Amino acid sequence: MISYTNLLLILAALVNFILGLTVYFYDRRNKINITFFILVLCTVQWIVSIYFLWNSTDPDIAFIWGKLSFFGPTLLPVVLIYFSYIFPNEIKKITLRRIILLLIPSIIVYVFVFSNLIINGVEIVKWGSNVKLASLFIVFPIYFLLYIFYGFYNLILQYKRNEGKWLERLQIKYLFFGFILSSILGLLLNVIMPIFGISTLVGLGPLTTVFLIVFTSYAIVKHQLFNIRVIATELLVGLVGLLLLFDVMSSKLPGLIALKSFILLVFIYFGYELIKSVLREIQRREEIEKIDRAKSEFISIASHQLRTPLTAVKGYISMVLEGTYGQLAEKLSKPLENVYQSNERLIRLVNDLLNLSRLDAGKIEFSPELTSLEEMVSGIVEELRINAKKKGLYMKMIKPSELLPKIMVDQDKIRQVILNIVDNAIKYTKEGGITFELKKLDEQEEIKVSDTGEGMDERELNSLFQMFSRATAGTQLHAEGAGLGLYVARQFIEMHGGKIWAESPGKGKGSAFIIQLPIKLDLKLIKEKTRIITKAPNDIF
Amino acid sequence: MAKKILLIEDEKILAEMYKDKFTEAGFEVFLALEAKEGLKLAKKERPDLIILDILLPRENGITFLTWLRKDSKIASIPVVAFSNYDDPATKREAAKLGVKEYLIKTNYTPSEIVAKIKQLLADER
Repeated sequence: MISYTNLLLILAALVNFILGLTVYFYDRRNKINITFFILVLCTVQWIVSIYFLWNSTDPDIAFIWGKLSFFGPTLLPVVLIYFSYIFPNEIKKITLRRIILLLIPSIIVYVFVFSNLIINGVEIVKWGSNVKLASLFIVFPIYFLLYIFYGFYNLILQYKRNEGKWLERLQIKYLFFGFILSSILGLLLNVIMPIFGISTLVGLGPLTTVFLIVFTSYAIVKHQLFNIRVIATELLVGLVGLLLLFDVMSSKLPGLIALKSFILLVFIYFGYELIKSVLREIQRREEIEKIDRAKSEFISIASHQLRTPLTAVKGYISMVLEGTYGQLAEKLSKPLENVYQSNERLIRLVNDLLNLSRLDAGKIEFSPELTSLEEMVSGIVEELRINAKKKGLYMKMIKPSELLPKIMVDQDKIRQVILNIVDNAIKYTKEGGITFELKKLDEQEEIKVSDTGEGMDERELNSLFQMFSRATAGTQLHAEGAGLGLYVARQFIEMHGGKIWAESPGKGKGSAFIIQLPIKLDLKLIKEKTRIITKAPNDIF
Repeated sequence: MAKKILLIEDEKILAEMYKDKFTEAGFEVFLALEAKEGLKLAKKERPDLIILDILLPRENGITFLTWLRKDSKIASIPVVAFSNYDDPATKREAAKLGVKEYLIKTNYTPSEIVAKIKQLLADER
């Protein structure tokens, strides 16, 4: 018959062992993971010794287990101190000399244990075993406490040195919490109560290590971005396996035992495969994330490098055009203006590529602010009026019949979208002009930009917002631009939960671009579309 | 009295270009090509505003900001990050370190950036 104490001990050993093994196998070369595994082995050794001490019927054998039950707990604080030196960062190199110095008292304690100076016998009683404390028992709790305080001190140092690093500090807090919980409970059950003659609960002492192991492994896991799902799967498989094992052990008929053993074996096999597949999947995902990070960093650096010469061209040409370097000959102003515009196009292309790569990686930032679309659009109209005028085009804005309420939009993105549309409109319109119209619908606000330009047929309209496609009018008239702008525009508008499309009555009849943006932002949708939101959601919504 | 601007910019062509423009606009401009030099000049000249590039040789703009904020004598000088390095995480870090704005260079002509800085200095008052 398996008692509750036994069941709890086996469970605790299993939980600790599985966690230790998982962390160890995640990164076998990492000092932190190896040290943690040794820590786990100490706790498991303790639990196993207590289990046999508790279940022995022979006092002599029980006494041996009683002595052995000090092995793990004596080594454990040394390992903990070492751990506190290296986790989450190595605060200072711990020398071999220091380790040896730390181990000498441990060895002395163990010599005391084997000289029967800590405990001097075990008495079998009906609830388990009663350990008889010897004259020098007090040495053990003093040793243990001193070492634990040393570990605490290191953790506090770690906490101080990791100022400003929230993740590291969080990890230390977890470790601290597990440390304290286990130490207090452990001391209570194994030291304080036996001193007062209550040994009935000594058997439960090792259970307290579960807190230390669970919190520490969680802290390591958080550091190494290790997926909690692996641990959950392993624990589940382990526990079901254990239940099946109990079931086998409690059966009496040989046929039934054979059948249940077979089920257990099959379960172990599939459980193993399950854990392996979860691990594989996570490793694959981590690799992808690593590549993703490298890619986005590369894009950021590359676009920086591309932009530097573009900035110089933009800056100097603009200054020449403004007359900073003296009166400009009229003959020169047109070509220089063309250089400036081409350079602007290149700048936009770099921006589009940067946006595209971020959209692709799902890493685009989204920072909505309360905005008046009317103000934004009239600002853009004023800004581009000169450009339109140069081409002999008019630019007008039809004000909305009712006041448009301010809505939450990412200003930079919406501005970029409108600029892109207007830029295209100017590009593809030979005569006439561009009209802006703003409207409030039931749940949306609408911006319509119509031109008297080339117009588009059905086929062109359909492929307009896809990557690398351009309406044929574009191909005939101009060869610049890779058609990324409208694709990015669509992504930006959809990110807001809005819609963008184009209409045209046909070739030569002009076209219109319509943007509809929701008056109320759907936060859930934005979270799905973007990974990062620049401001805390509470500030915005 | 002319307003003092400290420009920390490692790209010589751009540094000269902006320096010319700001000088023309009536500012007194101090130029540093890297973070350490920038910090020295900030302490010595106590500029009214710092225009800070982010990708610099050796210590970057973010490190410069942490130094600046730690030194109580110069910690309150307003800083505008002005860089072509358009990285969300860096922008967030800069914002945390209290930059007034993070501007992308290619989005501004020198005249536009001068106007922007004048506006910011007027708002500061």
